Amino acid sequence: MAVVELKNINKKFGTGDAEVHVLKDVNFQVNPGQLVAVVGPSGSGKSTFLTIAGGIQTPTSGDVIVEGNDLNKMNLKQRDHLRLNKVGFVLQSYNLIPFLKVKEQFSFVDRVKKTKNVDKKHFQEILSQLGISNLMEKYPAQLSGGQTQRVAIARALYVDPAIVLADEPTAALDSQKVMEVGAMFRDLAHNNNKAIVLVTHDERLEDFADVIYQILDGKLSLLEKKSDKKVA
Amino acid sequence: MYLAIKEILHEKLRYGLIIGMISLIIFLIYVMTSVAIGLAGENTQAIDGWNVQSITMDKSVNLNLSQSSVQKSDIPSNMFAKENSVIGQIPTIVRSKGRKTISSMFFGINQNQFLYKNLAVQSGGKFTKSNAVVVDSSFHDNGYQLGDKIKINDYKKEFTIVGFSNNQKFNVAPALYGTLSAWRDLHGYPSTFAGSAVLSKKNSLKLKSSNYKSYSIQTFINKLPGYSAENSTFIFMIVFLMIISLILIAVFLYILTIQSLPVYAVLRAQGIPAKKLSYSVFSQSVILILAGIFFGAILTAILNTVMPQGIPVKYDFPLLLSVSLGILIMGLIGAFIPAQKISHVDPIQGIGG
Ligand SMILES: Nc1ncnc2c1ncn2[C@@H]1O[C@H](COP(=O)(O)OP(=O)(O)OP(=O)(O)O)[C@@H](O)[C@H]1O
Ligand SMILES: [Mg+2]
Repeated sequence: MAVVELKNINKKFGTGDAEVHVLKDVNFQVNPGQLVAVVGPSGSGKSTFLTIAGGIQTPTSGDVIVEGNDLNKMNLKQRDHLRLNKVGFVLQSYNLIPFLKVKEQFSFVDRVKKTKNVDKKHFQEILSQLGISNLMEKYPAQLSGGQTQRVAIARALYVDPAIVLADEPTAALDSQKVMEVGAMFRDLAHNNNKAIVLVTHDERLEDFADVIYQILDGKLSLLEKKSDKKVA
Repeated sequence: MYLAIKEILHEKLRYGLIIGMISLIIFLIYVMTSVAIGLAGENTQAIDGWNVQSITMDKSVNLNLSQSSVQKSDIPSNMFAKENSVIGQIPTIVRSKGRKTISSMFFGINQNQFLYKNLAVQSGGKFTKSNAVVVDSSFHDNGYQLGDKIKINDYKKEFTIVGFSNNQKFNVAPALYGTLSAWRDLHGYPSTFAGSAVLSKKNSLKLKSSNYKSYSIQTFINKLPGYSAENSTFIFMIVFLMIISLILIAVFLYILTIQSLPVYAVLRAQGIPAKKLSYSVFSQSVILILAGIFFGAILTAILNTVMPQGIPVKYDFPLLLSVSLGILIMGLIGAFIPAQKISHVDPIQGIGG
């Protein structure tokens, strides 16, 4: 069963002459254990797509269904709860909290989140895979772009989300790191049964994806499906 | 709370400046309040020391003690001296060679009645003769000594200072205590005059003529020249400062919150409940104000040690505490708008690109 499903999603910004139709009749789904890549040129609507899928924005029309629940039918609190417990976001502009140390960026959610997070040992592995184990005491302003990006990835994974939505998670990384991060995401999907959606124009990441969609001018289309066993 | 503290500690300069501003405002409020209390105290010190309930005086003089007089023939012969005391008042100018000339207030009292018995003298002793006086210790601060010969108004005979008494200001003027016959002499009254009024520990006193009326001592105090006007001026200023501090704190918090809006939006995107973030803004303002109160109090204490003598300040701690509470409530009201703003922040604002 799909863990995230988008049905006939349309998204428009502005009104009248200023109206832009960013997403056009988008249908999409991702299953647990699946790594999906969505590629497309800049301005094609990738970020819009991803934030709608995660309940950060609402579509102009259409349904977003997460774990069988229709987001349209949920109130603000329920959507907060869903994001907090089920979704790990890696936002395009990393958005770390400037006044928290790296380790606090992760642990902060403990103060509000009731359900359990990823187990400590696994998180340590993630940190060392990302190569940021030694950055725990630093503030965001003391990190390089690539380090910031990797911290943002770790933050998304800390809450042990069923769904990971990552917007250009490798934009600031070198080839070596891209490969490592790509492999890590694939492992998380295949071994930890997570549903992972990567939005990217980094072709190097495509190699790790089970399914690749393309978004062009607001229209989403299936580009490639590699392993049938994981696709519903 | 956690976020609030983390942010303050990380942005030390920014929050330091804001706490500094709030401290200064609170300092100003403290000092104003204390000066107001001090000044009000200098109006009523002597009266407070008398510890009486009522004053019975000429009903036609609009509670102006200097204008009032009580005839000996009107005082009941069985008047109880433990509860009632005749007092004679006259504004005076005190001069002495080599000393500062001091505008003051002379009170004549009867040695058999409670005012005399209760008069506390800190140095020297009480007067026993008509040419001796006990004076407020501010005379001492101005260089007067025990045994000094003084001239009062243009009265021909000299008086001797035989004692100093603390906290004896009446309507801001330092008081002198002497006999009622000295009071009559200073006025040029005949011996049929008993005094200006009768103070009583009871709520009222019946004299033998309907020319007199008993007033509560508070009514009398409120009618002291300038007293009510001064007090309402201070209350107005303090309330005004409170409102300014409310606006200032609200504006500061608003600006801070607007600056941190993207951060709060990210937290919202992560699914942190809006309530939690509003609470954070609230606790931040509580912290800022408590810090302001703390440093404002320190500034006040520092000022107190360097304050020149003669400025009437009195630190009334329960009052300062309630003033602080008032400021805190103002601050919480001020935090309301930003907290509201936070609770409605759209998570999408935290997303760039
Ligand atoms: N809040 C908004 N108001 C108006 N227009 C918007 C808004 N958000 C996005 N758009 C427009 O929608 C289009 C798609 O934006 P989006 O951010 O989804 O693109 P993208 O594919 O993520 O691009 P990039 O690869 O550069 O990140 C753009 O033309 C953008 O200008
Ligand atoms: Mg984008």
